[in-house]
Amino acid sequence: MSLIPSPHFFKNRRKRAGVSPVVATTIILAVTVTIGLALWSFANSAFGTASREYGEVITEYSRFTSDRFVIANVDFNNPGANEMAFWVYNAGKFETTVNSVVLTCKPDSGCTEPKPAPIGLTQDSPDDPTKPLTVASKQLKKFTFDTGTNIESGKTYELVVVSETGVIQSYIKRSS
Amino acid sequence: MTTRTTNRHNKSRRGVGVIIGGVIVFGIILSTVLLFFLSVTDNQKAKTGFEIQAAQANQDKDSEDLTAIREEDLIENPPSSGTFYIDTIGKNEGSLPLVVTHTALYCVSASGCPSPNDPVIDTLTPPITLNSKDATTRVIGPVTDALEYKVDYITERGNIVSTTECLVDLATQVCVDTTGNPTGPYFEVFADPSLLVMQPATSAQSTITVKSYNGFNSPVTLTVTDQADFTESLSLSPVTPPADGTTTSVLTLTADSLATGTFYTFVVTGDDGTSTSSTQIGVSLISLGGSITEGIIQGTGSMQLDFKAFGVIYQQLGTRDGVDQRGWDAVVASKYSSVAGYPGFQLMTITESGGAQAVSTTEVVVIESARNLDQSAQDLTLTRFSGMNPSLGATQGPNNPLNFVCKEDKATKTLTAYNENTANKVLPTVPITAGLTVGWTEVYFCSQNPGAASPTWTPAGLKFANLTPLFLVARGDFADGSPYSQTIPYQAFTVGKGPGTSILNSCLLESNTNTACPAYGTNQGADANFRYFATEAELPRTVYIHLNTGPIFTNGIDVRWLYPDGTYQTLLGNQPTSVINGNGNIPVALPDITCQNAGTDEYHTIVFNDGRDASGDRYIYYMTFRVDC
Repeated sequence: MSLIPSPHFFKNRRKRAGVSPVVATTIILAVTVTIGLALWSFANSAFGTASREYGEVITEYSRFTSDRFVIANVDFNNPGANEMAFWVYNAGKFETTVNSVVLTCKPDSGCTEPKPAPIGLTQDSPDDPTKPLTVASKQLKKFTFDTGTNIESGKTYELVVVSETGVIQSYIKRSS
Repeated sequence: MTTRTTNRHNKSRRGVGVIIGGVIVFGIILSTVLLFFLSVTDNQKAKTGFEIQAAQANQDKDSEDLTAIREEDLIENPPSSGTFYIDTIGKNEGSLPLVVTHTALYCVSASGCPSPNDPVIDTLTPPITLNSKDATTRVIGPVTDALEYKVDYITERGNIVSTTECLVDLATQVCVDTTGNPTGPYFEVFADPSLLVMQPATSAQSTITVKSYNGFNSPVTLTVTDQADFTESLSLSPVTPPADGTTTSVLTLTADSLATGTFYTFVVTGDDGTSTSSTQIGVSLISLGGSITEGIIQGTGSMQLDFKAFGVIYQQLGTRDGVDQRGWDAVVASKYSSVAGYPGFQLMTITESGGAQAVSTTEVVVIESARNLDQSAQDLTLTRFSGMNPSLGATQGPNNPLNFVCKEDKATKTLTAYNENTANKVLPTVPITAGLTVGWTEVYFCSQNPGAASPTWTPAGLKFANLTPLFLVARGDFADGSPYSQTIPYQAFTVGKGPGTSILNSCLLESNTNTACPAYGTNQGADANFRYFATEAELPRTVYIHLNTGPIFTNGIDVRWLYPDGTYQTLLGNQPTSVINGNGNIPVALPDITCQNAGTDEYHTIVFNDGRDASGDRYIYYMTFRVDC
């Protein structure tokens, strides 16, 4: 018996291994579309996330630029000793939220203990100790806090108020 | 064969399918990327919009111009209730409408304010809109006697405007201003002029004005402080200004002839019995030159200096000291008065102008860069360019040639020579606050060695100094309120009695003929006939004013002789431009010089005063003569 296949062997084998051209094209299209959809899904997800995050950044930025408040006045030992009151006027179109305050006694005024003091805030009108400490648009509102230090008479203090959006306003006043 | 063809067709279909699929995938990805960039663009646009809104809001806020005014009288409401309020007015002085949303009343007394010291906040409902120039009146309180208050107006855009602080006086029902400006009737005293420039033994006047505010109409007694060297008098005292009007009294100051000070301050005080107001008058006492300075400056609105006049007069010197100098010229390097950005001084170079006539004993001298005498360190740089000392005809006697810059020490009467090439700072720095006579320094070109000081300087020490420029340097700045706006470097010839100190040559006498000039080889210091005295007989009677190329003048040229007291005599009036433009010469007959104060040097000045040149500038050329009296 010869080990060499006859020419008919190869002819018959090629016929058995082939698929219909229509089927092959369909398969290729299906694979291509599937890969395309997968890529689109991935890209859409990635770009969508980036777009959404960027949009959020812009939204935050818009809140920052539209956050317009001023400190109208500061009063020492108000309502009690070593406490401090300040009044915020919101000149912006949207509600502003006071996030924190820092009180610093200016060293050049001879303070013995310059002490930044971010202390818990309370708010008046309404007297609501719970946060958020908000000021509605075009409203003037009083806030108080315990300085946590002894307010020295005749010294110059700087009060820095930071809003939730990151806007900072300061007010410098000499204690009486 | 048929099978291979079929396989090729199948492969083609598969390739087409791959291409279609690839296009679809690419399209999807491309659209996704496009959507992303559109989203980014939208966000960027939104960000820009927010920034524009914020900038607009800031601009609107900054453009607001609200003033808060507090009336003096308190408002009792209801009447006879004993409850008083502060009467305030908010006025929109800007062009944009604004909205007042709140007012706040603050107790600002150091003690006595309620505790806690919360302001009385009034939320205006509805808010008050003030169009441009509109005003609103707000009665704010109540207030308590003997406490100080202020009122804030808060606008919708976040501006907070305060009234002046005031102390409540319920007895008089007024709120008294505590910030310095009384709100009740009061007066103030002013002086005009507040600075006088005088010479000894002369008088000057200043008008004292008493101005009434808030209806003040009471007698005000005026007094003036006394200075030892002066006699002071006021024409009227007391004076009573009409309500919200003014009244005046004239202060006359007479300086003693022996006054030696340079600057005096007089204080005029008005007193109505309850309050006083004062004003100061400064007096600069100048025995030399100052009045010339004053006369020149006060006589013109602006002044620029040019040394052409100096140069061309020098050009007219002709023969002097036996040496023919007619070939020498003084040339200014720049057209007008500016050297390297320093106004007020001109670069002057004396150069040889004609080879055939290049004879002189005068070295080439460059005087440059006198800058504005502000508080800066460098005031004047003198640079002598050496190397040109023609020997032809030079007969200089035993002294060395003119080699150095010398400065006289007034106190020791010594003359110290400087090597200006290594020590440029010859003139002192003159503070802006110095007296009006401070900073005038005489600088000579001399033949001393650098650093050497002659124990006693005599004019003979300079007898071969053909050129003895005298710099009188004033200082000041209009911007600082002092009377002189810029450095006024004067250059003067000494016309002294002593031998060898002259610079104006008698060759100028009698229409510029040389007949009176000494012969060659004579020493002017030894020639008793070749001296220059401040007498009518010996001073030059005619000088020629000549302008090289320079500004084109308009008609109306005047030449004046300025006297030490600031008055002047017009020597030539309203001359046409034809006499001066295009290298023309103006012969000017000098007036008699009469010393006004015997024993004291005086400065007389000849001033060339044009109308306006083509650019509208006004130019004055002047030459100051020091007269030994």
